[in-house]
Amino acid sequence: MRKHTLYYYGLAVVLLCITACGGDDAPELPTGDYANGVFVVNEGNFGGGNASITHFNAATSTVTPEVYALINGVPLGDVAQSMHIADDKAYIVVNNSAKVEIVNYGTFTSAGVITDGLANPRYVAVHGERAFISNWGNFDSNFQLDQSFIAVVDLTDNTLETSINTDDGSEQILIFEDKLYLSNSFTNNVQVFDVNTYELLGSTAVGQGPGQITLDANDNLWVISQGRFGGNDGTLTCIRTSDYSIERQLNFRYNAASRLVANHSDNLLYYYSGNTIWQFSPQAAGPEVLAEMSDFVGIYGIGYSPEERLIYVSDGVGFAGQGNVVRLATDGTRVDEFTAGIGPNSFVFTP
Amino acid sequence: MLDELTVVGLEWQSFATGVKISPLTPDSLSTGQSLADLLQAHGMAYLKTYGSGQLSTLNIRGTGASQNAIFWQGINSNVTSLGLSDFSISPMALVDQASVQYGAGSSLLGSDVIGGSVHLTTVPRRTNALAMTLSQGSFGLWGTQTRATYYRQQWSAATRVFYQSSDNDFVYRNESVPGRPKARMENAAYQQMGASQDVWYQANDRHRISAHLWYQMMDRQIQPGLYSTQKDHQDDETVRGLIQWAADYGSHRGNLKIARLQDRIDFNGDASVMPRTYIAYEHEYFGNEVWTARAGFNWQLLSAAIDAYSTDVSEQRQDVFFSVGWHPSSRLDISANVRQSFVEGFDPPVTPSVGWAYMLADGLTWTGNLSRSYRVPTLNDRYWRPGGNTQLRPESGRHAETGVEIDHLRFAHVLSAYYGDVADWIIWLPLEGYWSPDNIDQVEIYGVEYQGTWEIHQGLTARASYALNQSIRKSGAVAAFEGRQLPYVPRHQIKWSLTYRESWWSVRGNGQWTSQRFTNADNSTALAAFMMVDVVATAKISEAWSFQFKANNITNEQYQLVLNRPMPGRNYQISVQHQLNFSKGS
Repeated sequence: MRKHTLYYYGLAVVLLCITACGGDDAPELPTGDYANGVFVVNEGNFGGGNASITHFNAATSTVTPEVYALINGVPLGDVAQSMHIADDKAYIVVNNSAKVEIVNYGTFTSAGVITDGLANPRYVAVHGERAFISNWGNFDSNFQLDQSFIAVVDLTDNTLETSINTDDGSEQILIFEDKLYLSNSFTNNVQVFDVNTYELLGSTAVGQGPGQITLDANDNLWVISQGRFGGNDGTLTCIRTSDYSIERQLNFRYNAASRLVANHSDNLLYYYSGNTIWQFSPQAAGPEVLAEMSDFVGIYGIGYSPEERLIYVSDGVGFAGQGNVVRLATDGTRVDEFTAGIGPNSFVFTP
Repeated sequence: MLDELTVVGLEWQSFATGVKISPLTPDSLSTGQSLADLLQAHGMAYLKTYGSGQLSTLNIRGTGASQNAIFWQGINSNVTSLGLSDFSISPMALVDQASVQYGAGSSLLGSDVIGGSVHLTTVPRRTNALAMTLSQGSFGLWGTQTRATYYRQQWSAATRVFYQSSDNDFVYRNESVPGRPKARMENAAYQQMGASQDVWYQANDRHRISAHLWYQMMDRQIQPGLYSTQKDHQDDETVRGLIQWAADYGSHRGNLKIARLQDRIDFNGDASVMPRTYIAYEHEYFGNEVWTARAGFNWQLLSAAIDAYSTDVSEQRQDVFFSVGWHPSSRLDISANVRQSFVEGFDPPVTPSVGWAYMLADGLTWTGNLSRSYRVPTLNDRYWRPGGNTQLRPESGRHAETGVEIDHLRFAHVLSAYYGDVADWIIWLPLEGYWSPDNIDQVEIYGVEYQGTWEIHQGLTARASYALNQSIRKSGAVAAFEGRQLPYVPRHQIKWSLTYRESWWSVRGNGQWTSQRFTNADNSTALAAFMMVDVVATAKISEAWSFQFKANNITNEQYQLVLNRPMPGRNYQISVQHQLNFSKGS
């Protein structure tokens, strides 16, 4: 008996070490069927209730459609706007269901839902025990926004802690060094808030309709702006994180899409306009064409897989059927493709 | 006997040889029936309906929502901006008859009529009568309607008024969640009212003048899709007026129409106004027993005041048309039509048609029709910002159909087959961050229809119809969509009814089975097939009092006509009608 007890004790110590001795600076990655690969966020038709998440495992070339419904038995909801991974959780913003579904991304089992205080939610960033969720707010009868805001949600119980009012169309969020950078898509500015005190620290004018924000290797921010409707005046703006001043701005002769992604070493940026994919090195004089997706109905999302060093581009096929994802090498040549859901708008790669 | 109105022909019908036209009689004993309800139950067509009492568009003969039109008193009344009609806001309380014309009809009816058309008409009655109906039903439904008809010497008139409201908080099951949980619909309440006035004045043997006014409004909450938190609200308002002069000189007949139609749609407080002015003259000539001819023109002014347009828009359209009918023998009937539309900036095709009906034997007729069709792009297609495309071409189709009609004392069968090829089909696609329409697709439509009536026994009548619709995209923007069935076009639809009628009471059961409908152009998802049965019992206990009991969807089928927009399960409606017949006019 004693011998056995010792055996179990020893086993427990070993197990404890396996699970707990990973070291503080390398948080343990989750396991499960979906722990590795990429999640494709499929918006679904507005009002159609057919938003979904597709999982693609590049190692096995396995596509799993509608992962959320498959695992949890219920549809995801109406219009999946975005997904964000933090620690072992994924936060899926379901815009027209006015909720954020939380899942353990490795297994994709539900881990809660945030509904408190949301109105037209768009994007999520997580900082410590808080989720910062950008919300457009409600429209009035003239299709003007009432009040856009960031909902600050306590993740211990998924309740609203407070709301931070923002300029119109609060959209993409990037948190860097305890500062929250927010693009306001109905305006031409990026606002900066203190992530702990929620104090407005500054505001920087960029192009009209700013979208996705990314960091480069020098810790400068890059923001893509769509430009005015039909104005052919998209911009790419570099903002210093020290004083939120503009380091550099590229003015395009076309409207850009609101998506901007960086490569594995943050020294090459990718965006698109129409069916043209552009790449830009912050050291270079200007962007260059990487690829023309001439057989696409319309590019609807772009992603960069740091592990595979491949570019993922989606065709929304007019939301009339399942979207298509094409994988490109960094020289712009096509590698392969797979089928996603309705309106694939973005890619979230597992850590 | 129960109130049954004689079926009347449509003005252009004598030149529509080989074209299938099927009259549907509205239910005069219960209130609140919409054109969508009537067609869904009895028409060979699919109503794409976004929930109970919600937007409902017609898919007929494999075509889409804007490839058909509702004609009010002979005038295309599609909303000018959308180029389509909401069949759920068209109340049957204000008309005597709805006739469905199947297939391409552009040579007779102009733009939009690629898949078919529906015609709402009123007819003068030589009675002095008042019929008042009160209905109450499930989900807080109640409604009332009154029809007064009166005549005196050369005058005939009809006044109709109706009101209906419903909480529409029906219980449905969510079939896509384990355990099929029950839920109560929120945000689907509506109220609706309307009135119409028709006046006919027979000046003498040769001249008749009539005036027709129509007003109806529907104020409704928009039933959200499952999983959507939207709480939208829409007010629809339609005002129509027509003055018509008809002259009959035996071998010559003339008909002049001057009309103004206006739709107003207010969505969440944002209003759009879409008027249409219409002037038409037609002249028919009956040369002899063998030859007839018709010539005419119409002029229309379509306008729209919509925030999403950069400026108010209006457009003139003119049509000229010519028809000839040839009846060489009592067995053969041939007609030919040709129409040319003129629209600024467009080049609509010349649309000819030729049709025949040949009596092979007594009670056995072979029919056929060859025609072209077209649809001028809607104002939204061209002026909506962002995306409107002024470079669009009209859609155009080539069609053929043939049929056999068998008529006997106790039964009638109509069997038909059709084929069509529609090019320059307009599709909205995303382009540089916004959506824009283009002439992208080519679609092949073909199918078979059967429609039959049997008088099985004294008082016992059965009706049945079957439609096979294949609607295949031949080419388009996306290779994955080619060879696929268009969304929301069911391949198979079966509808039936069985009526037993005694002198003072009747019972009717009617049902339908509709096959699956794809919700996507790549046919990757579909709504399940469904079956539905309704039962109606009517009793006329005296000259003055009638009662009706309706049980709809008695098997409590949980079904959807549009993805994630549940429809009501079993529901009931009880109605009472008081009818007064006054002394005949002098």
